[in-house]
Amino acid sequence: MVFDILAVVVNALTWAMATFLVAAGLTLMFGVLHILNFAHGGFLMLGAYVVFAVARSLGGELSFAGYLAFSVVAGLGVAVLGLVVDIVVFRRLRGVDNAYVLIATYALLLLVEGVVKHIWGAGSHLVSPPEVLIGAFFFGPIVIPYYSVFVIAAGVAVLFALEWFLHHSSPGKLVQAVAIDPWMATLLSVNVERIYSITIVIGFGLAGLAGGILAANQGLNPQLGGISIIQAFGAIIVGGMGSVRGAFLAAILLGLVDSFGTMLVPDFPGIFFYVALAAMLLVRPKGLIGAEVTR
Amino acid sequence: MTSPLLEVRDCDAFYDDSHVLHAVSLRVAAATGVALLGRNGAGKSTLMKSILGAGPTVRGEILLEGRSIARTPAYLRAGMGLSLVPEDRRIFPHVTVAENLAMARRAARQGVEALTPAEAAALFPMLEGLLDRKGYQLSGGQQQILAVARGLVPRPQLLLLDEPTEGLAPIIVQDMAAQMTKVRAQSGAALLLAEQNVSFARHCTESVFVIDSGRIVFEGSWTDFDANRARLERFLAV
Ligand SMILES: Nc1ncnc2c1ncn2[C@@H]1O[C@H](COP(=O)(O)OP(=O)(O)O)[C@@H](O)[C@H]1O
Ligand SMILES: [Mg+2]
Repeated sequence: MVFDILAVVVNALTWAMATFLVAAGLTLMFGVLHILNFAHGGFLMLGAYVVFAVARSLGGELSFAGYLAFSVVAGLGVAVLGLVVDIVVFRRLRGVDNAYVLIATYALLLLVEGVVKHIWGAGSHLVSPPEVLIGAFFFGPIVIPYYSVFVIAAGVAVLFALEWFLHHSSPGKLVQAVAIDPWMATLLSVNVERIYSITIVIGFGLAGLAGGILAANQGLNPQLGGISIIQAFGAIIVGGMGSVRGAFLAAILLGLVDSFGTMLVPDFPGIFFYVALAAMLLVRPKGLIGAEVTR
Repeated sequence: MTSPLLEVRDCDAFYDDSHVLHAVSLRVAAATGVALLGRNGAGKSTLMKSILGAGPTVRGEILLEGRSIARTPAYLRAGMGLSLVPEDRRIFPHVTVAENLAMARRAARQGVEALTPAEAAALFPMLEGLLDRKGYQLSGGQQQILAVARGLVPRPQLLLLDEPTEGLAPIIVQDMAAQMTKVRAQSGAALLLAEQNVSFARHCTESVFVIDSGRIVFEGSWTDFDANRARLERFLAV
């Protein structure tokens, strides 16, 4: 029984950190720009396909260092795309009605899906994880896949990096100031437009990086962009829109509830995520971490 | 004649379709104190924001030391020695008093050494010992003083104070009047002070503009103001 529970916890944490990796850039951008980017999953998928394409062109398998390095490269590439998307799309969305934001970013998702289908086809692809991540730790009857440890470590690393950036670096402090009061930040001579662009670049970069890290976690197909974002939406809603820490905690909470729910009622896998989401919204409609942005 | 530090020339200001300022002209000479009196809704804040380019749409000329800044973005104007302390204070709640002050250092002009948080706090006895307090832990009065101190951090050429005494206890207003005199003497900054509190404004400035319904209806020295007091009474707070 105890071992079952430990296994479920490992499972939950893996799910949670994968979800947080998707949610981190999304909630950061929402906190600062108040744009909910429906295309976020699309750019994450793009990052995953980049790693897939690199792996294929190098003969199918990457070393661990290579896998990490190309995940970072995917992040950087998608970050540059973020700058383009900012200039072409997001700058026109500042201060407009949410309905337009939804339509515009959904259209962007469709565009990315189209591009992916055009380049890599509509079928599925597999990225094999680097050799060292295949296998597992065995503690008696408990099995902890190396890949789970890798995903959990990546999630925690992204949390710490973002927290350090926002609270201890000077550009990060400006990002926070702009999130809280862009008008006053302007009066303190902060170029708010520039901060918005930096935030978008970081948000997109996180999507590309997450795409790379998670590429070997599941099969790749052009629907991945839309699917991967549902759970992330849950985490950022429960965590408090715009809160990075909140999304992290919410992902863990939702992961635990979903995993234990599925253990107890195996006939309805995945349904407990939605039950937990609905329950949380009834109890704390503003999320775990109030409405305070990027904290 | 050299140009004044700030000149607003024939400016109109709008929020979308609503036309708020009408042909407003105003000058502030270097190192002088100018009061801007007027009732609630007269257009004082709109004029302050128009000078910074932060909010209303403005038509007309705004000159800083004779050079047009009318098309300069607000964040750059804020770095040219214009420091606006807004009426709603806008202290960042999530960081400390020291960090609130430090954030304003970036607005110092080229070649001007901004005040350190400790130096700025030392100007106002009320801020003593509060440097490590978070913004949200301050009382309204403390926030107001902090907002003024933050406005002084970049060593501005012109400090624009928007109704700093609003909602403050009389004793704090008295203190602030004394501090302002001292600070202006020390820093040599000019002051444009929007107020409804006439005695505070008189204490802090040498000349007066009165604004009503977005139009300047009086300009002159405090002596002129007193001579016209009967006519001006209806433009001032009751
Ligand atoms: N953001 C805004 N949008 C539309 N109208 C505004 C806005 N701010 C102020 N006004 C209007 O502009 C006029 C002048 O306001 P304001 O400059 O704030 O006056 P004061 O500072 O003298 O009290 C008022 O009629 C006010 O209702
Ligand atoms: Mg006002």
